[in-house]
Amino acid sequence: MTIRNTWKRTAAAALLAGVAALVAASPAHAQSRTGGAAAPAKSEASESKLDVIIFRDGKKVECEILEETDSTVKVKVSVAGMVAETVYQKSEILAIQRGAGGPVSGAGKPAPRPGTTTGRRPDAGKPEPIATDGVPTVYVIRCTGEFGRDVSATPFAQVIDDVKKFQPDILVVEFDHVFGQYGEEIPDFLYSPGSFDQLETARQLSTMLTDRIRDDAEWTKKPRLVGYIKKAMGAACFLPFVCPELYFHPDGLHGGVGGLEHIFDGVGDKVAQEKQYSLRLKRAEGLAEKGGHDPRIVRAMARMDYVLSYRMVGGKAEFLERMPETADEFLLTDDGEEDRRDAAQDRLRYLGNDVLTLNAVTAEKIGLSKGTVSNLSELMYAMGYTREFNEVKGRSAEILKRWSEEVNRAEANLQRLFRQFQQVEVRAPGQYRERTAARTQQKSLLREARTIFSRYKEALNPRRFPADAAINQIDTMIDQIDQQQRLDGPP
Amino acid sequence: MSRITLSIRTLMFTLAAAVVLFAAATQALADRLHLKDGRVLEGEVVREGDGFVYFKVRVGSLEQEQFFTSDQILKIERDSGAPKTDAKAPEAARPAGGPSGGATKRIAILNFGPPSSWQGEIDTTVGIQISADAWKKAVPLLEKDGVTDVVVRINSGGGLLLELQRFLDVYEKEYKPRFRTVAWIESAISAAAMSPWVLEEFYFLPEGNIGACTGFSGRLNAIKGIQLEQVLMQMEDASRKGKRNPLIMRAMQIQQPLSATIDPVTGQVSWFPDTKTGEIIVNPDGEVLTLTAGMAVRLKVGKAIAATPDELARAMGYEEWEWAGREAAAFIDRNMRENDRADKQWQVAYEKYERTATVAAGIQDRQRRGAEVGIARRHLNELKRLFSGNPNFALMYGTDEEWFREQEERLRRLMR
Repeated sequence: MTIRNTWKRTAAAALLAGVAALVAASPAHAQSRTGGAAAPAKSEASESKLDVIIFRDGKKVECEILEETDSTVKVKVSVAGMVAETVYQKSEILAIQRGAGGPVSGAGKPAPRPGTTTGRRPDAGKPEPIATDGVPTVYVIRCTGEFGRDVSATPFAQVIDDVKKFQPDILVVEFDHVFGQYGEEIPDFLYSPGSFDQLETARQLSTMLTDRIRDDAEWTKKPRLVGYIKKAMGAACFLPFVCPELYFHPDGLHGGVGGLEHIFDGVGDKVAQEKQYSLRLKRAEGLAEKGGHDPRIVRAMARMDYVLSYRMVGGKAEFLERMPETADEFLLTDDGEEDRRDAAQDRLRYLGNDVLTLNAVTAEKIGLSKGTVSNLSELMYAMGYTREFNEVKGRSAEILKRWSEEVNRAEANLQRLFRQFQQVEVRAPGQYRERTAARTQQKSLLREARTIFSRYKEALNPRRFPADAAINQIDTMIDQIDQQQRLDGPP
Repeated sequence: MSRITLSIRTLMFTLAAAVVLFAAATQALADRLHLKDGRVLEGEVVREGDGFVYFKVRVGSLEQEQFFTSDQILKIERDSGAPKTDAKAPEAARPAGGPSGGATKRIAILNFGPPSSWQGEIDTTVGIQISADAWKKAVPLLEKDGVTDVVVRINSGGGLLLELQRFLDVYEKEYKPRFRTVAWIESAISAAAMSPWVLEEFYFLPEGNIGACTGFSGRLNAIKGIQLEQVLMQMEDASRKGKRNPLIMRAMQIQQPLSATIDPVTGQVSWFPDTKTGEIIVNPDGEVLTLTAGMAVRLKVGKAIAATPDELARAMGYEEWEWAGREAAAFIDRNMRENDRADKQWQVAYEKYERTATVAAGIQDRQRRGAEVGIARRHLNELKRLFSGNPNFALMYGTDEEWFREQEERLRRLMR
């Protein structure tokens, strides 16, 4: 069921080649900057010894251990003269011998040793596989279509069950949704604050990705949860926040929920409106906090009157809830008032700043995104898996596709059933027998519709097919037909 | 109106005076807690266990209990006797009432609203799905099982104001005297935030949130005038019982600006009814407050964030505990499901009954009429069954015992 992604490794290698070229181009600068001071540093470095990891298949790797958890070891290795970080699963490892390797060479780079996998491939710039067995497995759930319709609780639960069968090391959820609601597509430069109505769906689905996996003992290995954003606009923008690690596609977009504080304009009292905005916003912010992200990002996405800037401190974005005051502070969103209100031409070009719609560049700058990657290989590399990996080919795509087709078919069938119900006629000669047949046919059509409403109510367009009301109406109608039949009676 | 305002001020003054009197009555404390960040806190080690210390900090006449993990602590200088071990810890930590005894704690988790993991199976309305009456009936089940601690796990978008005082009373009078009762909040909005406000310990799930307590009806018509003042006063009383600054709930109910300052030495939070005085703007001008878990814990509205029941038990200060109260938990869950079903079926059952009875009245043939009356009676019994699960249906749908008696008589007349 798994496919070894050597071709993807090659793609990652191509990316690495670019990085290597940059590295190769920079020594002149490095030497001129460090000058004579480089020598003692090298001397100190050479005194420390590399660590050795012995794998269950007998292979040994010399490396520098950077981080160790209960299940993984993150190391720095030298691959074809190039330094890279990688992560090993402890399940693959037989023993770790700290400081048992050769001396650390140069600027902390581990020296390649003959006989280990690190020096096996001579072509510089390509990531080398450290081991050929026990490679990390990754399952990718590709969420497409309309959030809440094509991706909803029923198919998502089936998908998670499918993921569980494989017990992958990494679970990537790719968000590539249509920006739209109830079948109507929305241009990317617009906002859809009404999407907050589907926040509950996101809250419910989030428990499947997090709590359910955490609490289910059948998940013997809890996967590393990673979100990969291609397009998460409108209702789709909430769920990614529960992923502790987020990466963006170069064309990625995240947001589209601005204008929350206007969705009840003209309805009732201001204080009651504010209550509605507050509860929606904080429930969404809660998802961000759960994923370990700054909730102010959600607020900036949602409220046009919220001002958010940032400055870089120690390589990290520090948020400021005010306009920038110095040259090293950058505006994310202004209050959208008066001349600060976005002009149409700016919004069309994604240059507006009344609300925050994140692209890959900004998302990475403010630290929401850990990196910008074009495909799974780049993503795995960015996550530290520089060796090959197995992408598990589960059934998630099939499950989600089938569900989408079923929902489309369900709506078409409901329209057909309504038409047929209207067209039911009592056939000639219109006696008791014919009237009974017509009623039986009507009840059959209603029961079929009821089954469809019950099965697909989570995904049906609530404006055209309000399921709960329809089910009640059908129950009443069936009872009414039964009564007519009783009162009619045989001749 | 002004008299009501005056009354509130008087009440707040009285509350403030009571706090001062309480603080002045406490004993002098003299343990010193040296923290690794350089702070030295003076007060009393209330209790301690493996890896944690609860320390009552004293600044002037004010005291506040704070939680520290061992990796925050450099050393403890004791002047209040022997270390207070965790064997007695839960007793010392319990802020109000509850059974005595140092045996292993038996903790029950009861759902106040269906958790999100139920995937929207039922609605979450306080007063419809979530019934104070059921919570009261669960008390004997909890006692029978020897439960010592009750966790109220909250996930609800709010509900009926009429259920609010019932819940406040149930928690204050039935639960707090019997059990250490804490809230564990996934989402507590509006009536779901107000109902447990008398509980003194709030814990949060990582995604937790609480607030947005503005009362309204119909199309966002906010409650006003005397009705609003009544609810504000009701929650001031709840704040006092829950030992919280009343400004917090007020900012959740109306557009009350709110800021706070956290004392860098004691960690004590001071609250201000504006956005200028405090260092942290908690509720900006013109908005209604909802707190997320992070902010709630930072401002000491919440004690800790716990993602799992085990994390919660540890955050409550326990090293050993047993999960208990399954029968009570099942009873509460079943009640919510039944109430949900009743709410959704009520309208259909009512329409069936009314139509059948009306049609029956028009049938001349006594035998056929009798058959219809029999069916109408079946529908009426179904209505009674739905009604019995939740007394609020009587108010919501205008049906009470008297209405049922009238319908019985109506059906009897039809049989004549």
